[in-house]
Amino acid sequence: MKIASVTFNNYKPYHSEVAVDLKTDDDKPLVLIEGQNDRGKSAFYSGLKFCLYGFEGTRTEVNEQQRQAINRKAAEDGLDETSVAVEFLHEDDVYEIKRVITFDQVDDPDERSPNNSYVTVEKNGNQEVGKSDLPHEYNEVINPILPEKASKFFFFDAEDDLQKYMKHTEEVKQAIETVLGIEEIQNAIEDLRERQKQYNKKFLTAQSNVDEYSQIKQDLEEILFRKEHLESEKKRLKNDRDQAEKRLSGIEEDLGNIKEIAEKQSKLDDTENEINNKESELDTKIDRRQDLLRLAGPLITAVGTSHVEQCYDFDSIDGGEEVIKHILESGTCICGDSLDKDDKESLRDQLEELASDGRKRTIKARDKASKLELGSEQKKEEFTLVQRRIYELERDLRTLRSTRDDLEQEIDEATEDDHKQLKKQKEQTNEQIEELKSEIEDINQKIGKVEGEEEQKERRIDSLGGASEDEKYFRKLRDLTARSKEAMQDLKEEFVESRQTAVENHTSKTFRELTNKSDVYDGINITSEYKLQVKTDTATRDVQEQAPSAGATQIIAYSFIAGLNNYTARKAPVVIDTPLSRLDKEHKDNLIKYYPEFSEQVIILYHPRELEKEDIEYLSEYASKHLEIEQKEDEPEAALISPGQRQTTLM
Amino acid sequence: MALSKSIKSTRLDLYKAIVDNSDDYPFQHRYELFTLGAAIGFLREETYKKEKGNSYSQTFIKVGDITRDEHQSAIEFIYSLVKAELVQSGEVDEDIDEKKLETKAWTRMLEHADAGTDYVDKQVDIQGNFDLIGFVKEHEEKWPDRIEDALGGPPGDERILHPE
Repeated sequence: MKIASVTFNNYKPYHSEVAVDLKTDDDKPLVLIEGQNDRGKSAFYSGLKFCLYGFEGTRTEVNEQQRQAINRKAAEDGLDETSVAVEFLHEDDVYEIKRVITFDQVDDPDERSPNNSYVTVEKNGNQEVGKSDLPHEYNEVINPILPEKASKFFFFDAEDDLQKYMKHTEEVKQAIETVLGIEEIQNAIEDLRERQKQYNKKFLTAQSNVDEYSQIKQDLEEILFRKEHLESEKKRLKNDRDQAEKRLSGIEEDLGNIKEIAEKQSKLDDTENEINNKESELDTKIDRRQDLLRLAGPLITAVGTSHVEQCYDFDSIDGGEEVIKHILESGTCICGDSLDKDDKESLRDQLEELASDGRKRTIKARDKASKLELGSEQKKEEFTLVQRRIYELERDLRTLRSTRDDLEQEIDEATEDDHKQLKKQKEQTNEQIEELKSEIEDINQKIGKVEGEEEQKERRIDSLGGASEDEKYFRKLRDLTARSKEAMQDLKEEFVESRQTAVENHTSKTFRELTNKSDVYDGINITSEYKLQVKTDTATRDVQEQAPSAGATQIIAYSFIAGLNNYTARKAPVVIDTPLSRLDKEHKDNLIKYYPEFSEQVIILYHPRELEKEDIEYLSEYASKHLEIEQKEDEPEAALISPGQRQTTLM
Repeated sequence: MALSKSIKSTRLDLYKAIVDNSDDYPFQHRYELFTLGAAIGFLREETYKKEKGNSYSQTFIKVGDITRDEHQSAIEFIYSLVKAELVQSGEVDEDIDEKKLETKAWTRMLEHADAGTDYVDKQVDIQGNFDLIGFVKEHEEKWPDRIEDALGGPPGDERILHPE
């Protein structure tokens, strides 16, 4: 299966018809679709799933999902129909699947409501399913291509869905068996089992010619009645066990969330420490700023003292006084000329001025100026720096306090009591599961005992002659069906073993390529119940026990999906929403290199922050299309998909 | 020798509002505001005269008792300029008795300080905060002229050269 195009019509943000060509070349399997938050990225992803499988849930839940799928403006405009159509190629046939929701015009878009829903299928231009709302008609078409259970491993949201695959649930197990084609063998075994029962019933009700034969058949009927009753009880117990395991999975998830709370508490402690450090620094800086502000008077004055010191330098003048006195005493100027009367008078005036009260006051002012050793320029510079740092600290503290408040609120929501209660629930559920397992074991023993009786009666019948023709015929068919069933069972076991080993090997190989700790991890082990285990040099542990980081968990899930896809009985495109958001750089780089190998067609819906320019350049070499989901300029609530702005290097 | 002049004010109301009872201003001691007021009043050539019914407060502190050297030195420097300016401007005779000159100069110093304090209070009212760098920048260019008013022009080198 390779998707050729998808056409949204009034689906979520896609108002009117938005058709997207998704064809890829064999050597360029990628389609990159960039979209900001709330632009239509997840709507694109959900639209594909909606078209191929409809919405999941109870009738009320499906109705609500259909209502939300109707574009608000289309409901106001009365455009009657919401639809998503997917055209794809599968084994040389062209299919077009279109799923439609009809609706009436409304004045208030909040009042929009679906009328009915149907799906149509065309194969090579001919109608295969026409306006059907019957699931089985549609399933007959889609199941041989890509059944819904299997689609979980092809269409996934990397942020949420991958986490689910880390938890062993019956649903995931079934999905895995579907992907690997094992479910079809199992279905055949179940069909044969049912057929065997029917032939047996026909044998038992067939006319007997011999009384003893008839009596043993009555005994056998009674035995089979008891056996059916026990099997029905066993089925109920198994169902209870499955439900309990599902509950356990939910409890473990909640406990995991509480573990996240512990991480949040640690982050809160770090934030508190940082706040304390910054508050302490802020107090110091504020004190220093106050100190400098209190020096306002001296700081302004220091400008004056500095001017006096620079411009009123009397050292040379004091020396000048001595020189003038010497010249006057000698009667000869320093240039050698003799002083006349006027020269002497002038020099005496200068000498008098130098010794005047005014000059003395100037000298005194300079003396006072010299005592103010403040370094006003440095102080001003320091004040500016202190002031700037205070602004920075106040800004940082605002952010940190807001983070602290958010963390405190989140932590308040999960208290210690919750943890204790969940632990208790986990214990109780585990006990319940063990009890159910024990009861199932008891039932199995009872069934075994009944089967022993059955076998005994069967042998007795075998030893008796005189069976009627009908009895011989149905007995022969019954035995033949039983042998076929055993052969299929044998086939399944071999198939499971070989597939499981192959998936495990490919998963491990992929994991070693993608992990940033290839020296620590040896690979991934898959148990017979499809539980994932991480292998290291020294041990093999369940993934949850190993407690890898969110990024490592995502990488394990990616590896597992890659392993499944490599050996799947079906070929299908991989569609990934939000592919890289939880990953650190090394994991991210490894995964980016791996995407082109993931499948024959890989559609990646990413947020611009997830991929750097160099990532885009690398992926562009393998991308047939690079598209961008945008808002329509004139309709802020409507989205369109066009060639992306960042696709300059597409080759 | 430390100056024994008393720091006081006719604007005790301002000192109470700005120093004693306010969190908006940085000052811990009244002399800190006095130094700033004196510098600004001197530079702006403004005086706040004692009026009728407007008497001086009790002494806040004597200049010689101020423990922060920066403030003591700044006050003494401004005071030396005020004294010089009284003579330089001819407001007092050159041969005035030193004691009288000191008294008159210190009274002028107090008047400058009160005027400067009043200016600071008004500016903070207008700006909403105490802007240190703003106060410094606003007044630093006034210094050369005000120093020349007090001390006369800066001396030239020609005075020690050949008389011709």
